[in-house]
Amino acid sequence: MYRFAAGLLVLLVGAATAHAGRTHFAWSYGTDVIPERGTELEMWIYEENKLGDQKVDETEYWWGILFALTPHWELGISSEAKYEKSLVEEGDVHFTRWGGELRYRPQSPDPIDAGPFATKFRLGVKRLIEDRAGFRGETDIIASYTRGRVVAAIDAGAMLDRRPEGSKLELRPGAGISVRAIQDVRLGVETYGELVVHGDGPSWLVVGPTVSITHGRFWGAATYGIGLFGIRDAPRVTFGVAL
Amino acid sequence: MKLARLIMLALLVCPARPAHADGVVRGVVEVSRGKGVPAGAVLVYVVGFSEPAPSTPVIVKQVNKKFIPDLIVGTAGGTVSFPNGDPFLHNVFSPTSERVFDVGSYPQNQTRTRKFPKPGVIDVFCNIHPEMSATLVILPNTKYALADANGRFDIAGLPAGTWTVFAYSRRAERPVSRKVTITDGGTSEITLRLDEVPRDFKHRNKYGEAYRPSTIYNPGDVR
Repeated sequence: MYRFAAGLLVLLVGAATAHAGRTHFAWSYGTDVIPERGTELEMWIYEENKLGDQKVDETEYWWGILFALTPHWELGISSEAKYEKSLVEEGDVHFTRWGGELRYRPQSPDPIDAGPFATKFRLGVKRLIEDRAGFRGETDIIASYTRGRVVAAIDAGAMLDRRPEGSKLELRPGAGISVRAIQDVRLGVETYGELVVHGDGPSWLVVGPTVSITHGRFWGAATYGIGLFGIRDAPRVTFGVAL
Repeated sequence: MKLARLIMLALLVCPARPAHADGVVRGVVEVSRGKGVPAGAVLVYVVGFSEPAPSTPVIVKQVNKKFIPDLIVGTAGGTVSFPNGDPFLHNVFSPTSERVFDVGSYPQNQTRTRKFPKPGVIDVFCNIHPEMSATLVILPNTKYALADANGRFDIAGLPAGTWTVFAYSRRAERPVSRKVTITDGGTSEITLRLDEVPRDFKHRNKYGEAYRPSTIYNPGDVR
């Protein structure tokens, strides 16, 4: 254990020039974009444990490849899968969605040229694999403010599941603050929720600590969201590798 | 190299406002080059006061897998443009902590521009072509000159006062300096001696990795 910790410290302190660093939060999107013509593999793994009255446990996987079309626009192609179990249903793994998304940062991609405020807009359209007549739409408006070591961000997100048997609309607010601790390791706190405004399903909100790191081609963020209502906890890991 | 950069950075960040500006400093830089050290540009500049940056960007061309010029001078608050003159992609970046940047990859006849708000000495590289390297010196004012082939320089428009004159080149062991006192309309003559040493400017790519051999992987080349 001691050797592992020492090795990790060497890795962190001896980190090469940080390059990637797409978000400092695990649940919320950041405002950075990939450098022009860059390509990145991105993955999310997240859990929603003891969700709602049915105590649903979910583990979801999101795999995507992102292309920087211009200095301001990114195109993402993604596929998603989910493990789901509740009080009344056996656990089951299935592919849930695939689709594309566009992300747009109107400011310069360069943090010095852009100044402390930055924004990003995200619009995603997904095909529901098990409900061929339906689709999912996702949108986020993200704003960040950077001052010295500190980055604060808010993410106003929304999700619409459109199905023949009924639609579901959720607001997905997120916010966080992250402080650079050593080298390119950041510590912070973030909150995130999924609030159902139309259709069935439980609403929930979590808050928890966040750690993020950039190292060469790699960036990653992890959080352990503790339920404030509607859920016990919602941990999440998000990471990416530039190709 | 790092020591030279630190010395330069410490001395660049000490500005004050100029008063009346019609003094001149001129002189010669005597360069001592070790065996096999190629001749390169020698920059002479004056620090101790600040001026606003020109509104037009400094231009750094990329031609035949070279930055032209490879010793670039700008003023704090100004911009530097990097037009691509080659028929393949370039990806200009800097890992220097004073001004980390990465403009991404872009094709011929396009340009990318970045702002440089603070004085400093900044390494500039291409992430696709390891042989490309340049040094960007961001000064607090516009009072600099490149020495001619005989090492002579002439910097006009200086305010009265006591300032520090530096000579620096990409292969300088360290920058050298002399104090000069400028009177209203006066001319000061100085001689600076600069030692240059061999440097290969080897560096890592923007991810902090060694470049892959270009014969195996060179995605920017479409020739």
